[in-house]
Amino acid sequence: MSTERSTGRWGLPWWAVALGATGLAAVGGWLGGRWFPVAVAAACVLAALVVRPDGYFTVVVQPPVVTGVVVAGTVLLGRPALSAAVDVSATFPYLLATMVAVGLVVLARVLHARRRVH
Amino acid sequence: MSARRALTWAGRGVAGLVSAALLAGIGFGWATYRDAVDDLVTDDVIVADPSAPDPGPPAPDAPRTDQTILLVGIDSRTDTHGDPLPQHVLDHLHAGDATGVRNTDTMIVVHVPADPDRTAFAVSLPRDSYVDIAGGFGRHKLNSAYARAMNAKADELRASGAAEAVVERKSRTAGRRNLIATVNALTGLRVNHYAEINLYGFSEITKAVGGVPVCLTAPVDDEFSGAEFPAGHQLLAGVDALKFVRQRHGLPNGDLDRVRRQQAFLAGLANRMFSAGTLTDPARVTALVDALTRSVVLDEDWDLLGFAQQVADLSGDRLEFSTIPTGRSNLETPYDGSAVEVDPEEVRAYFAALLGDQPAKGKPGGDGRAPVREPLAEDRYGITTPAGQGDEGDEEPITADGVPCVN
Repeated sequence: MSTERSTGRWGLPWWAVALGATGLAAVGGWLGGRWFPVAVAAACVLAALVVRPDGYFTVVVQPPVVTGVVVAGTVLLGRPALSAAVDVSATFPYLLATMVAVGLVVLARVLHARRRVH
Repeated sequence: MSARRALTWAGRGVAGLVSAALLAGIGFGWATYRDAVDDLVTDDVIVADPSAPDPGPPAPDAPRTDQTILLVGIDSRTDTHGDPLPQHVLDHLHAGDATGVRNTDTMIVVHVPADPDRTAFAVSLPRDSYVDIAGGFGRHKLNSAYARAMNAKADELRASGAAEAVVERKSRTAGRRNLIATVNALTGLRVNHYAEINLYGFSEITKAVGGVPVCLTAPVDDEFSGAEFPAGHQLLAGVDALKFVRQRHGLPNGDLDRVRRQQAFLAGLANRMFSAGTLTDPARVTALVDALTRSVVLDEDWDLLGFAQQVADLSGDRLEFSTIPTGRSNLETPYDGSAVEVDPEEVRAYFAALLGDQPAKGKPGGDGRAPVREPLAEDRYGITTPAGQGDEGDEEPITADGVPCVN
């Protein structure tokens, strides 16, 4: 395990964290209200912690996509578009905070890996 | 570069663009809402029920409650910030009265239930309804409740030497509170939100949504309001829309026909406002928010985001428009000329029926026709035959199927 970690191979592939984060966010979307942005934040930060280094790009760009996919899904399931639009607009500050947190996690992991290599 | 690598980078490019676009869209929605809330003009007009304990400020996640909103359309020569309207607009409005009299010419009580499975209703209160005005002003036309209290408060404040700006602001608050108190007493409901819109803002909103479809049963040419329209379907915006909702001369049932027009128009407007075509077009959303902030006065403490959600989540087929039961429309009064006769007991019974078992069965003063309710997927905002107009018996019930034609 530790040798894999130092060579930067440890972690889940990009598609696994994308699916997992979307699933977790969907649970939050189903619960509704505050749970949705909180679930998106938790799912995306968790994804950044467990992804394999070659999936860093995925975890950095995924928070808005995960949000959009879950909201689009609720609309397809019959939620009024206006209600969904109002809901998703309110998540913007959470979304920004999530992206900053994900960026910091990735940065920390990159720096940590470099120190191990040298 | 191998094909696989190229594919990876192409995928990343697309994902990055989608992500950035979504982030920008969500940010736009958030900023629009925040600006709207910052720019909206509010007034402290909802007075707590003295017999009920103060519930305090509503918690953000509190369960939904029934919302009763008083929608008021007012003839005003200034915008919500007190600035005079541009002269070319005034010329078009045919709002000749510069005496400062602020009659509330459109009053609609909107009820949005907490339970999304129940039907929301919007009931028009004809402006000439002869009712008891709150604040001890006696019986007069309903549309004078605002102006009477406002003028009384202004006189009182001026006598005590208050600054003109203070007089202006506080007297308007007094007028709004008095109108709400009058409506509470008349309907037996408790209005908990207030929205006031001036004529000019109304015309701007119709422009922002790209016009509202209406239909006339007969051509009209009225010099009082400047209304000059052919029969049949047409798209109205701006000043034309105003003329359409303001005309009452030359109509078979006068003000009651105007009420009906306003209901048909609001149904069309609601459809346009909440249509995907409006809400997904940033330019239209911006124009709409701009028009609303310049022309609408709301009560304080109105959680608009929560309210918008409550409206959007309604699973009821539609918002039902109707009019309170009325008696004679040519009631002679000692001081106010000809007014519309209204029996407060009938009105309260009418609202009680709407709140209870919906829809109201056997409307008092009506003709016994049940409100028309047709489940229509694409058109949630319909209008029903106004109660109390059945005496003529020659009116087609208005359904939400397409654009209803009115006199």
